[in-house]
Amino acid sequence: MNKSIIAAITTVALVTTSPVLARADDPGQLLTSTISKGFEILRDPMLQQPDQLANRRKKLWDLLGPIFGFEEIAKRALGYHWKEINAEQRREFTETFTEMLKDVYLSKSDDFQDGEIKFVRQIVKGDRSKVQTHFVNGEKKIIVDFSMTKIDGQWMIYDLTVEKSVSFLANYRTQFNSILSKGTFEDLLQRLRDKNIELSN
Amino acid sequence: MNRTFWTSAVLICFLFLTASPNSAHAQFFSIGTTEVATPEDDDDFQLDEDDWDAYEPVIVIKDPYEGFNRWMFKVNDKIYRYIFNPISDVYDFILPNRVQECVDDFFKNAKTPVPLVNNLLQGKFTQAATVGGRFLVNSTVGISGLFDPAEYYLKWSEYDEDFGQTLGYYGMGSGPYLILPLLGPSSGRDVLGWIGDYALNPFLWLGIFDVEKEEVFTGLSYLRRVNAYTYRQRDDYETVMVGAIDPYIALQNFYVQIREAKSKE
Repeated sequence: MNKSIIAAITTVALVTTSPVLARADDPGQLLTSTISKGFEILRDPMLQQPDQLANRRKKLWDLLGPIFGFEEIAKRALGYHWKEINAEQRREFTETFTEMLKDVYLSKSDDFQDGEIKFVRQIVKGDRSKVQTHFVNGEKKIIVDFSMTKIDGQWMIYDLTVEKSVSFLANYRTQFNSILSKGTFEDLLQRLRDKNIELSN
Repeated sequence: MNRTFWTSAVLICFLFLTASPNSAHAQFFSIGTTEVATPEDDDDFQLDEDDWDAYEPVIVIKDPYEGFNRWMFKVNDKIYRYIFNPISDVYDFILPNRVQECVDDFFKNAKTPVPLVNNLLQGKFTQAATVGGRFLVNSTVGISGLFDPAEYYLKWSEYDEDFGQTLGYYGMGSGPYLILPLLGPSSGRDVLGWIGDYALNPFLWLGIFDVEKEEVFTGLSYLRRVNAYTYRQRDDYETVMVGAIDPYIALQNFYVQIREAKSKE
């Protein structure tokens, strides 16, 4: 009898204190717990050795990649131009653009060793949500709002807005729109490929 | 100078006494592995409209001088890379980050007349009061503004209004996009605003009212620029450049987005 009461209490305690179990469908929880794990990887002294850099970036990518909806990002960054290209072009664009984002932001991640993320608030409406977080590093704090959408039952990030003003998606969208207003889709793709070559050097 | 100084001092004291800044203390508590922070204000936090396939993509700015601007952008980029960066490297090597933060806070505090006057001009009296209160606290407890106890302990955030925003507040359009030599992205309205704010710059008063101090004025201006570049702008600029496909448009759009957001504050 006593044992089953203890078991019941333990179960309730586990379920209510474990955010993953309690709120599997919670975008804010998914996002902040995943990014917190990212900071743990960055803090791991073993992975801070110079010869571990590639390994560390791979671990980060394996962790963070799945919570970003890259096809959604590509689609939204192209805007109405997405409708004007075929499936093969969409696939190639998504792949090239993802490669670029990965190289740019993984290289930036090396500077965020001492950071942490704090959940602030969120709105969930149907399959879209917005999660507000604080990225804190010492006394410095940046407000980052994540826009997320549910794809195949899984919450994924498609945009982030820094300090309630700068949206990265809007920025890429403006760049792509500008390039496409002067050139073809093939030109844009070529510039992305050039950028990837430049980044890998 | 004395009269101006004392008039501002009295005005600031008055504002401070009548101040009722929102002091929403951030409370941190822990859920699982992730900490939770309370929002800073009760602004409208909401989902944006889902217009992913809209024809008008995002806010844009008129750029009739694009040819000149693109050229100036390239010149600035070279100046940053070959002149600013080496100076900034040395500065960064000598002064630790914490000291740079103090220098940054010092200049922010010293130019209090700018946000103070512009908040007043826009009728944002509570914000102006907070700005005045910040000045008093940071000039005293914060040792001439080297530290920011007003933000850290009292949660009195800065309200960074400038004359360009004041002009926007009274309905003036942004005017054409302009890349200024050394200073970078701006607009017709912001150039006018910059001139207005310059008149409120206390270091200008030092220069004008006390001719012997001109070297001090010049020296402080250089220090302010090198510190701001090293402590704040350089990383942001390089992040924009490394992530951009068309760096000129990327920088322009970040400028537009920041100005747009500030005009809504």
